[in-house]
Amino acid sequence: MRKKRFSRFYLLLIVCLSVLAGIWLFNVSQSVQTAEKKLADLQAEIMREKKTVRVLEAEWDYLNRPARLEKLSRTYLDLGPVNEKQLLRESVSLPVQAKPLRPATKPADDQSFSGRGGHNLGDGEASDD
Amino acid sequence: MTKNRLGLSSPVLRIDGVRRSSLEAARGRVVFISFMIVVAYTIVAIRVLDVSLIQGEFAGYSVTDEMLVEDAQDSKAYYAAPRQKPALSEMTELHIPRADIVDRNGVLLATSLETASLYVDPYLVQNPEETAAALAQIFSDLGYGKILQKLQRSGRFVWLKRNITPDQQFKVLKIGSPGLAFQTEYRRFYPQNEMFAHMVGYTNVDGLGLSGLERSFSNMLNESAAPENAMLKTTFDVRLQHVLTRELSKTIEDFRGIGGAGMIMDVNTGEVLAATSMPDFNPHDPSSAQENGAGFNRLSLGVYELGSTFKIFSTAAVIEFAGARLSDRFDARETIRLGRFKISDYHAEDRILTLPEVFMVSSNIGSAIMGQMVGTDMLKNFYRDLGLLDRANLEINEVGAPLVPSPWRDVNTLTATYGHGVAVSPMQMVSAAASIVNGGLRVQPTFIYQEDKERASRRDPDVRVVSAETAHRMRQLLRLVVTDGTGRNADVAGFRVGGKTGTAEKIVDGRYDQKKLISSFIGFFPMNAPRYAVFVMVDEPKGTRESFGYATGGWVAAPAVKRIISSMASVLAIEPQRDVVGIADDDLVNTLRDYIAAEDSKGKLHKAFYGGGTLHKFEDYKKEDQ
Repeated sequence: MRKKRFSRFYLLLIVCLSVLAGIWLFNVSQSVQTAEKKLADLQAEIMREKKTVRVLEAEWDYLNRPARLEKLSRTYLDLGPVNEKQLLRESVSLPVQAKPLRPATKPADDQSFSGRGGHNLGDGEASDD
Repeated sequence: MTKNRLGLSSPVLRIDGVRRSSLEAARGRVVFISFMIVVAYTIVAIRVLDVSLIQGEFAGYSVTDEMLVEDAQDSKAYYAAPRQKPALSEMTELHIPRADIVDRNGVLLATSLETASLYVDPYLVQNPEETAAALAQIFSDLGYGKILQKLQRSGRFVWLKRNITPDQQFKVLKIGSPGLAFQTEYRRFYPQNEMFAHMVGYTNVDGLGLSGLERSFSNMLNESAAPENAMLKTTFDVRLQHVLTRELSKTIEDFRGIGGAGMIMDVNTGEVLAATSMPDFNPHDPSSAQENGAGFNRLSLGVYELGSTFKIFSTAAVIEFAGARLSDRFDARETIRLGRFKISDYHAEDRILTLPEVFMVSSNIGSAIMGQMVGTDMLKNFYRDLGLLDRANLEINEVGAPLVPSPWRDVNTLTATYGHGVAVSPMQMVSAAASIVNGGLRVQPTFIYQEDKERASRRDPDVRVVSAETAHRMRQLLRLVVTDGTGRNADVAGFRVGGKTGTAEKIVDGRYDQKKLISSFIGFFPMNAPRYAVFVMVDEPKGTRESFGYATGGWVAAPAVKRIISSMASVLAIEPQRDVVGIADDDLVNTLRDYIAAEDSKGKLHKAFYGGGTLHKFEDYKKEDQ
């Protein structure tokens, strides 16, 4: 009788374990599936991004054509190519700096700063005082 | 103790377990089976839960516009391809059918991009009129009527438009007609447009190179499709190419030329930094290459009599092989007549010229005398060493074979000294001149970039064309041309430009046509340690008011070279150097100007340095050679 109860206990244990194992297996299979799905998604995304990067690189180089940049710079910037006369080897060979046309004074005192030009620097500093 | 059947107590023992066990067994089975059924249903239930809720939750799906596009593109490939899992690394590897071509800084010159092509399955189009109207708005070039015609055609596959833009594709998807579908194709793009049309070339729709590097490296570019980042790195520099293209086209326009060619080369390694031929064409539309010969590469395929630039070679030859010295003088007073040939000077000086003066004022008579001094065999061998008599060995297939007089008579030697009678490709001439200027080692142009500069160099240390001393003299002479001679328009303060002009008449119907010129200038800088060669050639320029009616190399090409060099300086950040003047310096960083002045005044200083020179006349050599 004792032996029988003993074997029943084992049977129950085995059933429980197998159920647990089943649940665990299910869990693992779920997470593997999820991971695989995620992996495939990421890979697809990497591929998509790579293709996009290729297109963007081509577009970058297309938009940075020197001819276009030159045109844009001429339209919007007051910059030009450096003249060879503007280049010097040492700073010593720079000509003696001329005195500033206007002595440096407080912007508030200097009315000429708050002109109607594009810069409102003078105005701003004047209001601080 | 058994009882009989009549109910009497029977002594027969009944074993309880036997009956019970069979019952129990039956019940056990029922329980087991129902348990299994419950388990099975539970599994199904969990699976349902999993599929419907868990996986849906985890993936967090919501359909985006990009996914629509991707689905449309992938579905076809997905069902067509056999379903097997590739290795992990391969799964994220892009397979580009043709490798990119980039410049020395990695800027794309040619790339392959995936584009969608729109086709229609007319069977699935439900409302052709509406769909056609919507499509006509997207593709204004197709027109409503034509689209409607295609939508109503019988069959299951009709191309609507190949290689559409992503924006157009997106708009087509927004229409949402099931009959509209896409097929992805790779298409070759040239982000720099026509700037490299001749050098990089173009391909046909199947990715087969038809010209330029695309042609000569076609197989390699296609084979290297496997590694994702494979690319062909060239020696070109987009910025310099732009400078060259801009100035060349401006010059051609100003002087109403029919075409031209230009090139910037590193004289030490042979790396070609920029190379162009005009007119050019749009490589996206190769049919435009057929229009007025735009597809013709004047730089490497065209051969021309380039004129006085050849005096670089004949003067080097006379110094190297005939032992001429700077103080030697040449009688340029009389026009040379030999049979039916007449050799006269374009910039006639009518006096006895020293060797530097012959070069400086580009005297044909002086050069012809030099040719006599060197001799036919020697001059021919020298030209051959320089690679002027054979087809150039280039990395593109468009290479023109030089036209060399055959048989080569003595009179050909005379004309060859100033670039007539021998037609070579401009690229050949530039590399030959670079071989002299770089110190005397033969150099060949290369377009393929290599990190290892020693290996990259196409300078052949075994082929010395002239001695270092001759090379040094030639540098001085080239500088002199720019400071005081025919190339004054090419001088850029601070960069010590040296160079030689060339003006040649084109042969029309077997005669030289004085109106049709090839004007060119080859410049080198900085002359004390030459690094770059800049060449500009204009085909059939016409004189303008600004050039006082002249269409010669000094007026047409030299100013272009000047502008190119000053732009190059700011692109490459080359530091300007101040000219040092002084005759005592035989290093002669700058010019032979003082030397000429000393010669003119018969100064003692000059004699002290160079000694007395010999006077060479044409007649002196005439008898020897004939």
